[in-house]
Amino acid sequence: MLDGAVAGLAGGGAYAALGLCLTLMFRLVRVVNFAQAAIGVIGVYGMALLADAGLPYALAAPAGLLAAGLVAAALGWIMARWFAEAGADQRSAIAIAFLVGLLAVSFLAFGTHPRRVPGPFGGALLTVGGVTVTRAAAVCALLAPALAAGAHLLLTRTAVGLRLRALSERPTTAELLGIPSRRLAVGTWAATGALAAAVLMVVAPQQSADQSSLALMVIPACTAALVGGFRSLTGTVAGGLGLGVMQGVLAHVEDLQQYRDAVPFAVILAILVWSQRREVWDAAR
Amino acid sequence: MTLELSGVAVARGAAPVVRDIDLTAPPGAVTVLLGPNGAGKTTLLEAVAGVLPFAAGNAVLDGADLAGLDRVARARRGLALVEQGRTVFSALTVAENVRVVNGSADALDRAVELFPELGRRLDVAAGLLSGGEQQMVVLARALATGPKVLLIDEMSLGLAPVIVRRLLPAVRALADGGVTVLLVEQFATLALEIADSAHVLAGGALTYSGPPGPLRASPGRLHAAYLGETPTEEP
Amino acid sequence: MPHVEMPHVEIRRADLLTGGAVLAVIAVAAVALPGYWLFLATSALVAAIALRGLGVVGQAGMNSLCQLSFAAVGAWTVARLNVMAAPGGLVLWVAAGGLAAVPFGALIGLPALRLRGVHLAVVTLGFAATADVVVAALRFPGATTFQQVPRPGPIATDRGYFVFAALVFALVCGALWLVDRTRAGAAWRAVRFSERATAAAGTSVARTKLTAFAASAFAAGVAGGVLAGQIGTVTAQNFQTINSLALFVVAVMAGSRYAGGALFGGLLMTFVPEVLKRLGVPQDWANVLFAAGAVQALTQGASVSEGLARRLRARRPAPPAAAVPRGEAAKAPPGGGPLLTVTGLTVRYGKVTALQDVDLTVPEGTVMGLIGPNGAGKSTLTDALSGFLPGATGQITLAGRRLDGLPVHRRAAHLRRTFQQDRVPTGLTVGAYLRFAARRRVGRGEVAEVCAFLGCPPPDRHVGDLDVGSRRLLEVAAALLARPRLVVLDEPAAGLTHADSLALADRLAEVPARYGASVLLIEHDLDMVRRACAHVAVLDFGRVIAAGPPAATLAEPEVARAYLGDEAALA
Repeated sequence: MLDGAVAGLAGGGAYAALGLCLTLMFRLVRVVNFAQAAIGVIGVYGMALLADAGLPYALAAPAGLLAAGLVAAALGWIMARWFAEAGADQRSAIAIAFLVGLLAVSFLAFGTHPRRVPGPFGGALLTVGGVTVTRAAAVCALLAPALAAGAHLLLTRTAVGLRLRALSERPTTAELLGIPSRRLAVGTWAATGALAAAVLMVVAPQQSADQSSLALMVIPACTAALVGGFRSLTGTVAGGLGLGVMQGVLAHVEDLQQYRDAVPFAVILAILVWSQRREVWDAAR
Repeated sequence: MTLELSGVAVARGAAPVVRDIDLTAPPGAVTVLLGPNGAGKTTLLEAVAGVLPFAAGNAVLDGADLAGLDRVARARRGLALVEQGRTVFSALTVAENVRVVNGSADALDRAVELFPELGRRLDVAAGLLSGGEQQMVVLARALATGPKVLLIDEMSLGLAPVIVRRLLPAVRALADGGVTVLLVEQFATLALEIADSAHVLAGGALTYSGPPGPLRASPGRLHAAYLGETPTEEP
Repeated sequence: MPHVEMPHVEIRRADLLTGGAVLAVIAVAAVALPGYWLFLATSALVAAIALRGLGVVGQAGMNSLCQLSFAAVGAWTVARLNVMAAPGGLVLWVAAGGLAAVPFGALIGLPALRLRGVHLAVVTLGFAATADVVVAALRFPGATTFQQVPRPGPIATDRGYFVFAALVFALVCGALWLVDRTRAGAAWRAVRFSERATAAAGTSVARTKLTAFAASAFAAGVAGGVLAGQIGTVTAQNFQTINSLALFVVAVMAGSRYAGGALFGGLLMTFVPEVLKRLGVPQDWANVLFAAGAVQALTQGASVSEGLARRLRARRPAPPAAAVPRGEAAKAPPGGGPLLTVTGLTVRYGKVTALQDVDLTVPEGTVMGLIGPNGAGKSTLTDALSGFLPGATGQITLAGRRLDGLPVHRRAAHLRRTFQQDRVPTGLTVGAYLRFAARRRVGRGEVAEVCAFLGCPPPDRHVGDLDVGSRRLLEVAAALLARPRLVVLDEPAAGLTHADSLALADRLAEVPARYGASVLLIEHDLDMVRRACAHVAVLDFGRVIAAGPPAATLAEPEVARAYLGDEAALA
């Protein structure tokens, strides 16, 4: 049982970290970026392709991050250019189109067969009382809170963060004050895109890493973000880690094993029913 | 800088709101734009700031046409719009509201100099301030951009007249410092006290343009524009 | 109280054209297509049925990312009935499959009552992923034993089955076309435009959303059933999440509110990959194209079929402005006993008190004005009366009935309101909107009468083609047509010229006698208030500062100060 919980930390950390990307994107550029993990897939598979071609990991990995960042920036530019005034609904619908399109592009560019993804975090880190902690689990579980702390510091302590927060609260007012919204939005896309690639680079070597299932990791990541209401960074991290641990534990329960991936949906529903008890109207007035 | 509007028309969606607006706001002066609700004052200011497009006519800032510049570019040319409804960044502190547009310590000092009551509340989230204080933050924030032209929309909305009496002299002082001020205000009497020239907008067109004197002297004209009927008693 | 209504069928040129074109394409295909292409065309029809269902949810302003999960329920039901050797054969099983999907649709619709937009989309996506897992774990009945779903005689051949699929598609589209013309269909479109306005028009938002999801799931379930019959043994592969997402993207691109759009989408999904394959181009390009197409459609603000429909719709010139009888202004009657009694109404938003202990009485059979400067609380009062502010305290009594505590759509039976913002759903015709908002059966004559009275555009015009002023009048007409005891009009003259405002004022003065309703008129144009109202009340900073006959009340110094900031203005 404990073994399962610890093993679940790897997945949970990844959900949390991807969920952080989603939360940041929703807060800062008003989109639930369903393509978040798909952008990461481009980075991971780009890296794997380069590594297969003989490039050392230390070069291939940054190249993959760069590729993901550039793809994300391009998508962000499309969003800022044509959908700057659109609401979160419409922008998120576009993100779904991005997801479907990017996944197809990934199949075209990298082939439909799953690739072996190299990674430096294989194997066990330590074994305590019969419970094995893999290096990937440790990295993921630490990565998510570190990311949350980093994002918090960026938003509260830096000039860019200040502008991003202003922009997220009142985009029009911020623009009227001369804050360059488009540049900041594209930058946010690029940064979270590269981050998503980094997260997937840690987890992809540990599991069956076909492109569809990596891209659809966005679903548990959405669950994590939903725990934080797409606002709270801490809530997102807790949600992601909790979800991973829950799945890890369920993997060890004979009867429920095959349903462990259904847990996110049950969690989503429970959270929503609880958090949205009050009737809310569609417009302020 | 002088702001000149000529033949301006603005629509919201398909509905025309204002038309044939000719108006000049010179530097160092307060130009007030009065008129009843729904006359199109806000629409006009938003179009000048680049929130809405012009349907016709043009706006010229010191000889340079604003057409083709988006709102960020216009802001960087020195145009600042203080929007209606106390648009503070409520999650940011008072100091951050100013810092977000201008990081220099100088900008914050100037804000406190203009509105000393903000000095004690610099680290309070702006959303927790009173309405009057929020409006001060909004004004101070606009000033931090170092504007050449200040467009102010209904600063007094939802504020008691006594607070407006506190804010308007600050606006006057800014104009005296050389800023071009175009002020939209529902408390007409108070606004006219600090005005150098006045325009009345009714039903989408200007019905009066000239010095504030005549409007101050015969409030009947204003009363007519606001309440829709000339009162029988004149002073 | 549920309303049963015979659909009021209005056949329009665009509908006929689309319907005819669709039938023609299907007929030609049934005769002319060679076997393999016919199989593909059947697949296109299956996709089109699912897409048309998706269109219902989209029409109601919601995004569903789990359409194929509902289809899986339908297919699973058919396979199960087959293994059970249930009576009735495939045709009945398909219907059963559709019905089996309905509860799942309602289940997904439940969170939609509280969640909207992207949060709802996340839920549907979660459901799709869950369905993937469950379907993979459960296996389709008969899949392991290769127990094919048999097709009865006339539809045993591929050609016969194609015709069957086409008939099912036509039935689904026809049924939805009919529903579209009832109040339920109008409610779907209204709820997309504004939930508030839908509730204020007396329609339950919850029921509207649930029926949209249920109808959508039904269509998807039917599609799944037809697919089961087409390919014999279905597998989990057919219903994967990523395919649901692709379906959504194609729906955005092609538009699936119309039968033509759904069919076009189905054809795209089936034939684009096929054509690519024959050209030796990787099939994945298809999804890239669909994604690009969807983004393009969203930049245009309309899907391919919506764009076409817009162009097909003949744009007639605006009707001449209503004849304005000037001269002798009608004066509102002073009214009788109290109709609406408000006591101690208080509304707080956080620390801000928007309304403070408001007492207000609107007499029976009169027009009363409510005025005050911006931010005085007039719209808050309207919201509190109509039920949008459950946190409001105080008593609201209308004709002896307590309104406080009732939900918005229940209050709407006796109290109708209009909105300051433009809240007339753009997807409807004038006639459809009026019948929707009336919440009772109204004849053509009644509709024509109220339209003529207020100078509204003719019933066959599209709301989307009207200017703001006409929409406001239309909203007033709809409120009157519902025959409430009280109508609350929130700035109905915004967007009208001054002369038209005064004409409207004269009409409003006649409303009590003509329609048996009192009017509470919120208005900035004081000329209009003087003309229409027998009484006025003045709000400032959330309190009633004056009330009485218009002339005397407007002359009070308090009132002038509220408007101009200084009583000196009156001198």
